[in-house]
Amino acid sequence: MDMTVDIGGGLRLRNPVLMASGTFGHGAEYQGLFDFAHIGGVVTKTITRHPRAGNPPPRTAETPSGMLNSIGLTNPGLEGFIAEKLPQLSDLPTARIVSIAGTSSEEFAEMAEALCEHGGFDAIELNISSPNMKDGGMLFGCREDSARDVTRAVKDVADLPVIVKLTPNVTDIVAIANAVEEGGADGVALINTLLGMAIDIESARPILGNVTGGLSGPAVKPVALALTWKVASAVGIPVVGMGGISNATDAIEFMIAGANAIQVGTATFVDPLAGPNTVDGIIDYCQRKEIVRVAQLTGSIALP
Amino acid sequence: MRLDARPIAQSAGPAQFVQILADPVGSPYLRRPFSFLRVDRDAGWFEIYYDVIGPGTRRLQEARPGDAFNALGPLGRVFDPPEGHLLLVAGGVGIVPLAFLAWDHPERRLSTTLLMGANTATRLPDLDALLPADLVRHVSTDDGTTGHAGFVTDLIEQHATPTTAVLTCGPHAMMARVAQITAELSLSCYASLENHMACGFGACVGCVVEYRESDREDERYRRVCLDGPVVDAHGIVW
Ligand SMILES: Cc1cc2nc3c(=O)[nH]c(=O)nc-3n(C[C@H](O)[C@H](O)[C@H](O)COP(=O)(O)OP(=O)(O)OC[C@H]3O[C@@H](n4cnc5c(N)ncnc54)[C@H](O)[C@@H]3O)c2cc1C
Ligand SMILES: Cc1cc2nc3c(=O)[nH]c(=O)nc-3n(C[C@H](O)[C@H](O)[C@H](O)COP(=O)(O)O)c2cc1C
Ligand code: FES
Repeated sequence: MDMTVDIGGGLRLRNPVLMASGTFGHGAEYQGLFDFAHIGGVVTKTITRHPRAGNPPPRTAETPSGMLNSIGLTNPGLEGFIAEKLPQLSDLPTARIVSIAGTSSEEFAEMAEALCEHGGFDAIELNISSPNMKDGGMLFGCREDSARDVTRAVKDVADLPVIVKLTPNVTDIVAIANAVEEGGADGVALINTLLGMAIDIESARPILGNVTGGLSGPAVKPVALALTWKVASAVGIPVVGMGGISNATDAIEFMIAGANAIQVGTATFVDPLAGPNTVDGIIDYCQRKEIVRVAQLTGSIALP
Repeated sequence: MRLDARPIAQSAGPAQFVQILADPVGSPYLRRPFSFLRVDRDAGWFEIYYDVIGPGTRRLQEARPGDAFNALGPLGRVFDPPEGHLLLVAGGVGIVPLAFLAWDHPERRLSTTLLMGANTATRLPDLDALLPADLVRHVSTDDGTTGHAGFVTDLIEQHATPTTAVLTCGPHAMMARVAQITAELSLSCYASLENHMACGFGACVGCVVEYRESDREDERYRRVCLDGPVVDAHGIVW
């Protein structure tokens, strides 16, 4: 059986399961946990130009079938990442995708250029969708023109595939997806977290130190699946779907809806082996259904 | 509550914790962290002790003998007590990791003193069941229904020697007060933190505590589940 999938710009994954940004450290930390050759790839925690402390605690709150987070892109900055994290990441026997976020198109491009010059990884994911970054972040992902411009600025300097990660916190995600495709994106990834909030009624205080945060986990899956389906139906580039994927059944749903690959995020917190187990489950499904190439699943939805 | 889990029991050390999935079908969704109370490495079991406060601990309370739970651990760093006299200052279920330290270091018990505080006598756990019999203990209650009348932190000065090291675990306000008093007395002080956790193994960066000093911006907040749960009480922002 052929488990490989293409996610744009010539990047072929061993199988369609990636570990989502911000839910798996910088990748290499978890080498003892399972064999990385068993998954399709890892996406690093988002890197910014300069080191960031992140938001004040509390940073997480459980909500029905999911969680809110307001981590706020804690990371060692571009130089710190290249010096301390990238060497171990480079050694991983799987696709290595570096997630970056900037405060301007120029900064995005500067980071992409520096990383590509250094090498040692396979693709860039542009995080234009973090709800936890006050300066920039999600703003880029909320407007068609800025989403297009930032994509183009990065594509002009990057010699590796560029996947743009979209926010669901917009009126029309399809318009943004079309804009980044015009900007030259090799693929799109969606969804980042949904803006959310929780309040402690005894103290009348917000539970998160940052007041609002991003919702993820099984609670967001139906929303993420519908958006993945809409975007995949509208764009001509590969789509990486995510949002509440905990197992192979969830993953296969996203592929049937049109995703070429998927990412497992929050589920890893509950089950550190959720990623590799999802791969095994997809293999079982394909065998049972006598599917010879997993890529056949993509967009195979039988609409009424 | 006692759970059979040989690999966890065999490698568990003081201050470490275990993340338990209270409900296999995901309600509540995230795991719940609990400190080890006692382990038997030969028999392959560990014990936890908890207050029932919400859906996760309620699910655990409903468990029947023979029920299986998914447990991930041991997590966090082992705390190796420094030489000399140890003063353990506990509030509420914060007594659990301190009791484990005493169980795990029988040779240290003669040089260890435990101080335990509660609002009122009926809120005190059964100390004889939780602690080794030969561990010296002193109790305080806010309302004076048993032991010293007032805060447990009032007892620190009289039980400390100039070389005492303090380890505390309990409500945030109590630990902050312990940190302040030990700073005034120039005693070293460690706190076993219980920040809210999503993963428990360093992946979410959610459980952080702020450090007073850090070389770099991204190290200002550090993960309690990975760098702790025991931290230098004088090194963090309370
Ligand atoms: C390292 C560590 C060790 C702990 N050891 C013990 C122990 O030995 N005995 C014990 O009774 N409790 C202990 N706690 C606290 C215990 O984890 C919480 O009481 C429990 O998670 C509450 O879950 P719930 O669903 O019943 O309550 P809820 O309040 O509904 O829980 C909601 C969310 O808040 C978190 N949470 C709630 N209260 C706390 C708290 N005090 N500390 C950390 N997270 C919390 C939960 O994990 C969950 O994510 C420990 C916490 C940590 C971090
Ligand atoms: C704790 C946490 C931190 C995250 N950090 C990032 C991040 O740094 N960059 C990013 O692009 N997405 C980040 N995300 C979003 C996830 O990558 C993913 O898009 C989202 O959580 C939905 O998928 P899930 O439900 O499977 O987690 C984070 C999510 C969580 C829960
Ligand atoms: S609980 Fe996830 S990093 Fe500590």
